[in-house]
Amino acid sequence: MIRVRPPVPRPGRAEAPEGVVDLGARLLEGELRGGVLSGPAREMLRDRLQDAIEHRQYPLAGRLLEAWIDSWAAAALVDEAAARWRAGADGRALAVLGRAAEILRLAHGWGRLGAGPWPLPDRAWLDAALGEAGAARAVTGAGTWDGAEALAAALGVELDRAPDPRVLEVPGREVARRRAGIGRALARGEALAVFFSGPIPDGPEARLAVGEARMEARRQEAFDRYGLPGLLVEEAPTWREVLGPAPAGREGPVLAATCETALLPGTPARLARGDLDTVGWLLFAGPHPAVAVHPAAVHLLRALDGTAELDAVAGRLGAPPAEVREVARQLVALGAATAV
Amino acid sequence: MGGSLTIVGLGPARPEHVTLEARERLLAARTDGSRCYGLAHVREIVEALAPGLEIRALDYLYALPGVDRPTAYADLARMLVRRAFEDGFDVLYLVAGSPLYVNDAVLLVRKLCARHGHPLRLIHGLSFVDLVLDRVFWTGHHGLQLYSAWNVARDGTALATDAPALLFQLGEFSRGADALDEARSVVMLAELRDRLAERYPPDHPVTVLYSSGRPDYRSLARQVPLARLADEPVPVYSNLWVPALSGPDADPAVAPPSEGR
Repeated sequence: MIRVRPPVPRPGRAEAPEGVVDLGARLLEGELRGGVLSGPAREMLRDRLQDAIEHRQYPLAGRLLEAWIDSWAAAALVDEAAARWRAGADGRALAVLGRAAEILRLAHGWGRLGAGPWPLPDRAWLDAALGEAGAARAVTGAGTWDGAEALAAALGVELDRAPDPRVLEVPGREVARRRAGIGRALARGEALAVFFSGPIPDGPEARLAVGEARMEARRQEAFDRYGLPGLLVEEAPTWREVLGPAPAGREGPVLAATCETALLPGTPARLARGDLDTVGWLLFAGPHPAVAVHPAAVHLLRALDGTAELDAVAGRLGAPPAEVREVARQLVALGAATAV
Repeated sequence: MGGSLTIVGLGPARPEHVTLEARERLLAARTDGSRCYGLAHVREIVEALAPGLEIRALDYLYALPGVDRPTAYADLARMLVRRAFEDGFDVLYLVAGSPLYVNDAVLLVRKLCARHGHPLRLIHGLSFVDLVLDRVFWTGHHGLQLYSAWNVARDGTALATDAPALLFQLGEFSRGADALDEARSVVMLAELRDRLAERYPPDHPVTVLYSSGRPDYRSLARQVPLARLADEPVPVYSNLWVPALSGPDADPAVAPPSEGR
């Protein structure tokens, strides 16, 4: 009997035991890679974004746009993050891998597994990953929160439960009735996080019980962000926390762009509200967040070819030289251009 | 099962205003396994007094849809008592100011402990009242009316005009968490002005007493005629001094700052 682990990457280099196929390792090796994020995943995101806008699915469009924008930094960081994760639990690496997994999930339109950003790939991906594993399989895992139940259902196989005391899984409908015991177990550190499966009843009693449980759980925030891997790292920063502004370039009479650019139908937040407008974006292939700018700045940056002086570039663009110099100064400050 | 419950008053804001007893209890909590609970705004002062002490943040109580404050406070009281006397933890409930002033959750904890015979330790803290009164001339010999602005503006509480009044939480226009929106405090101020105008003349000098905030939390005062009370917004935790119309406490003068500078 082959047992299958959900596609949640585990840290370290330990091989899965004999007879166990670790889909987390397959995900890490095959999908969480720079070439995948900057290539096919980015293309799929673009296509899905266009489709979502055409069908006026604006909240989804906002998420797809954000993923597309983030794919520059994620693609630049993910290979090193995967290497660090293979060396051991590392919170900053986990933040990158988590965002990469989310980007991949949105690109494919895959569902989400349990807690954290990890995807439930489609049947074609699962069949390819399990191709040589034979037909006699069971999924091994804790239950809902680690995706084992969802994976077993997707594969149509049994779930071989392996309880994990680090996470207290509670059916949502039972939260108010079991409140005292949940709070006690979490306060005593008998579990590090809580996961509510199924719908939580409406009403103050259930809401207060959930609030108390989440407040008492020692690693709840890390678990919510990254699922089980979140419990294995000392610190679990967010994706945004591992990014920082690009260093400023050098000013000079001849400039060249140091990032890629795009003209997109808005910011993610505005697009999610159905508010479409052309916005310029500076996209950095490094640990820097994308920056929204006026479209004119994108046109200027695209004209900075590293050979012509700014006044000549202004002439080509038919723009006032003083304004071009000011926008260029701001682009240099943003790290989007530098003197050559 | 063991366990204990201690309510710790941390004073209005400055670490220097925390009692020695409170400070010693916080320092002990870093090593004795006590479980500390409080709103996020106590973190800064606790970090200054007992660096590294972990506080379980109770702010979620203010962010639960469909849960009003009385329900949240009652739930908090039950949770703290359960954690201490059923689960066996030494629990510290950290509160700003004095635990005995305008803290419904503390009152409910005290009543709950009294009803069930649970021992409760209360470590006092300096009240905001002590601080703000340094900008007026008052000794207490002739009384003081202490109400929330809400009591007067919306609950129909009528002030006696022969004694001064201190009205607190002047900017609280809503029972929801959005009451911290200073710009909308004029809603409450206008209602309060109109209620006070039923008993005081429009030119009666009233004084807004408030704090300068970080880092030194100086007591500030701004005197205006009653008719102008709603002209400018105030921070939610501002107070209003209403001098008596007659008698020894009718002195409307604003006292100078008391920092000795």
